[in-house]
Amino acid sequence: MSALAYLTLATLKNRLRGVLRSPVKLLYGVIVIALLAVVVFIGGAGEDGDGSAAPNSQLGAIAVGYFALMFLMTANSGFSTGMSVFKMPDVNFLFAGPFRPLRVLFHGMLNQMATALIMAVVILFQYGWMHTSYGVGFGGLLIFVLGYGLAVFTGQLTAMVIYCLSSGRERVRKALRFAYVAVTALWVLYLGWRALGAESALDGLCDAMVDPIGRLFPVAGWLGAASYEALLGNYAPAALLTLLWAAYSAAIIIVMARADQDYYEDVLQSTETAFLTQAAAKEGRIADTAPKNVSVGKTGLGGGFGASAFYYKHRVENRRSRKWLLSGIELVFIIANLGFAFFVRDTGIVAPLAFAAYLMFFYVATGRLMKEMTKPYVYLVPEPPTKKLLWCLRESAAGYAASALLCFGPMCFYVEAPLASIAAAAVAYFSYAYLFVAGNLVTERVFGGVTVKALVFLFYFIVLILMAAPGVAAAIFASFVLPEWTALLLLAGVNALVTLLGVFLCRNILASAELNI
Amino acid sequence: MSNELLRVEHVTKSYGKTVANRDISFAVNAGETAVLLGPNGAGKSTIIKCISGLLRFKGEIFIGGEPNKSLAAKRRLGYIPEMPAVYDLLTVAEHLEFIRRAWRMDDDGYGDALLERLELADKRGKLGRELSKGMQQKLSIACAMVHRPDVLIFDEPLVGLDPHAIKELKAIFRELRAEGRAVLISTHMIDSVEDYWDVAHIMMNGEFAATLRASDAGGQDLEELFFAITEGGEQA
Repeated sequence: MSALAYLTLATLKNRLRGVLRSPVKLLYGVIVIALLAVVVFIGGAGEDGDGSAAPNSQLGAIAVGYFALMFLMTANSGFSTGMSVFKMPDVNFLFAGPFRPLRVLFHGMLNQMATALIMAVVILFQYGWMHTSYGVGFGGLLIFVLGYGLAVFTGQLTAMVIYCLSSGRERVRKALRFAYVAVTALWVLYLGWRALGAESALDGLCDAMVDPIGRLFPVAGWLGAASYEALLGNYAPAALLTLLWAAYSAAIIIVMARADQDYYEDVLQSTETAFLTQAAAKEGRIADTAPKNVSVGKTGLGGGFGASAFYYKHRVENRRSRKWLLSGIELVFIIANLGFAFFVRDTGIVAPLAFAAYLMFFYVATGRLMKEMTKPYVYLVPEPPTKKLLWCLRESAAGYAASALLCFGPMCFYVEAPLASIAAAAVAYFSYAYLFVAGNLVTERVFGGVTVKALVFLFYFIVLILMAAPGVAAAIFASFVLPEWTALLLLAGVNALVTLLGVFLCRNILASAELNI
Repeated sequence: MSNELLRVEHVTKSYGKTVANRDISFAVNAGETAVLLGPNGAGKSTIIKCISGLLRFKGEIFIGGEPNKSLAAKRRLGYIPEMPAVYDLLTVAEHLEFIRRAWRMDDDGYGDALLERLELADKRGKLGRELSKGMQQKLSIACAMVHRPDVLIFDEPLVGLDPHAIKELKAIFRELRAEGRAVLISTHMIDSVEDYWDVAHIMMNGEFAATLRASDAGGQDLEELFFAITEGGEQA
């Protein structure tokens, strides 16, 4: 057996053994399988009596759109830190060892593809609505899982090649960046043109995404449309699109191998960065996302006394890490919110608010508080813990407010709802941001000691549902007797109360530095 | 000249406009221990990564007469990185087996002897991720030595090791020299190499500020010589 084959098999064997020997991991596995069974059972029970649900262009558009989002986000990292399919031990043992670089590259890619497919298992949980709305069976779902895994994997390959070709070569980087933006912009323009020209914008957009032009969008269009065609039973176009993907992947590998057999240096930095981030996380440190070259600029905190000194320190840190009000990912989600609201503009403001709050679950962050908690000062400063906690949380307020404004401001122009309701929805959206932050604190306070992070995430999800429930219930009851905007403000008020209660109950989180963050 | 196991010729390494190594040339002979000394940011790790084949550079590097990126050169090289990173899901014993397979070697018991010596024998069945940082460093050393390379490159090898391991590693350095291997050590800890250095290259700002030979030191210790050069004092 070759050394690389031995490495892969031994790793796999030990991974399985680790799962079987760890009760917590086993429990997590059982919970995941049980949840999946429940999802499949409920999905099956929700089937139409006449079985009329069938795949249509909406399903194809969901696949193409989701694959495109993942592919573009992954490939984009090639312009900054790069994306490495390697881990630090690969650098130490394989790069410096007697292996041909191309074989090492294939080994890294194979492992990465396996990881991408494992991550794609999340899609299995979408069985319920996909089955009920589009008649997707379990086999069809597996096709989507495969398509998603391949889209992410190809995104990683693309990022690696972009980085290898453009690292240290500004002109090449600009040219590739131009191509990346131009292809995406052309595709988006085409979709927008078709959507606006159709009787129903949503139907026009969905049809455009899977039509012969829309599906030409690299990788995501091919794989998304191939999955869709396979579901429809049109195997010839599915095979053709898959061949297109295979040709692209092969071309990328050839470019990588031919252009630069000596690619070790190109992936070294991104591998080291990923390793240091992981090592920091393991030790309870949270790596700052500061850019490589920090401009110090104006010095001094410029304010703060006692607990408020943390707030002014965070402002300086944010300025130096070039984090302004909103991060790139927040802007992407705002655009997604605006897009969703456009398609449901006839239904009022509640659906866009629910969608925006749902998306917020994935990106709301506690700002610098979690980083602060990994250092001793926040525990040592002689100030009341609740005060310190609130000052630490204040840093994010401007960002949440800006996010609410950018999300709901433009909706005033196209969503069919009274202005007062839209304004109240913006306030409710703001209240959700802090509700989720409080949920994060409660989860850390109660479940911070649990070492399996996936299990902590599951608890976080449950905690958020429990904390959001009072506000939603109050708003539903209020909507029977009060105008919509009042019900939404009541929702925000109840959220604020639950948030304050959560923060108050967690005030002693700053009493000990023993949390497993 | 034929005695040279490692030869670095006019190596320059730049990152954009920053020159990390400028026109570095040196050689390490069989049975010789060379040390790279210098303050933080002097370029020690960069030249080590160049030699190990991890970075591109201008100039030439030969290991046993072969270009350093060739498979023939890599078969004769043992590299102990500054950041010990082992495979999370391989046991200690499996790491050594992997290296033996990679270097196409039979198990001659040397790996077990190294584990014994570095007090890792009772950790044979432990996974990489279950090891402390110091143990990972020991495993990293064992992996670099188990294929009996002619040229060994240690990047800050003593960081994180316990007193026993430091003592053993110092003994290993002496044995490697006695066996005719070429050893290159990059370190901040000058006193750690005081007893067994043959050649010391003092690096500053990416260049060699001085090259000293133990035989010419006239009894002066390395630390005195180092500070005389790096802090602008009179060179002894």
